[in-house]
Amino acid sequence: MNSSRSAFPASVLALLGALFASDLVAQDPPAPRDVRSELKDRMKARYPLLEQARDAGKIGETREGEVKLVKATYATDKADAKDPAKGTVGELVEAENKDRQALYVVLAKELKLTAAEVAKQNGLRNLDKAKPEHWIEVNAQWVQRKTIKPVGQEKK
Amino acid sequence: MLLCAGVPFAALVGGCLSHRVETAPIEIKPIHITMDINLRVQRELDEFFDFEKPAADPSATQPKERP
Repeated sequence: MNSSRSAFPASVLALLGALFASDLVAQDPPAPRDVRSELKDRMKARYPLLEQARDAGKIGETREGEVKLVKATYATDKADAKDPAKGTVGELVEAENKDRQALYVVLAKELKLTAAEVAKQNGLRNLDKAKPEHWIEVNAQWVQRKTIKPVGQEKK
Repeated sequence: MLLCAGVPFAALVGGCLSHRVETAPIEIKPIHITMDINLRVQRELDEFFDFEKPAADPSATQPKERP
């Protein structure tokens, strides 16, 4: 009799404990690796269209690690001429920059740097990877990659 | 009389005049950018963007010097 009385509150407590525990787990932010893989999947899917727009001279890279429209009028162009459902070049640029900013924050946390520093490093990386005819924004002016001469300086 | 003689003379002289415009050669100067590379960040970025195409041939990106 006594044992059944004492067992009841214990089971209620266990149930409440389980509920709180599951609630706490649900409120935890996703692990950085998950955020990274989600960002990577989206950016990987977007990459062929970005490269197409870059090759067409519609978008270029900034030294601050952002992608940007070379001319504002390109914003309304279809990102994929064969598939209008893929949106406009302007939407493509906006989505890419949103994901890049999120990536810079994640990497900055891991590397104990600022997001701006990571962004700048990606800007340099994109400059290095660009094709000669690709556009790069330097001092608020668009120039083609072939006119830029990098001066190397490395640090560990 | 003077006008009658002047018009053909002016036409004759005008036809012989040559007009030459000289343009200075245009020199495209390369823009220099200091590459302050942080290798640790570059490694992380390279790992993340491993789906991207490899970098373009660096020799293709160098501006050709004029003779």
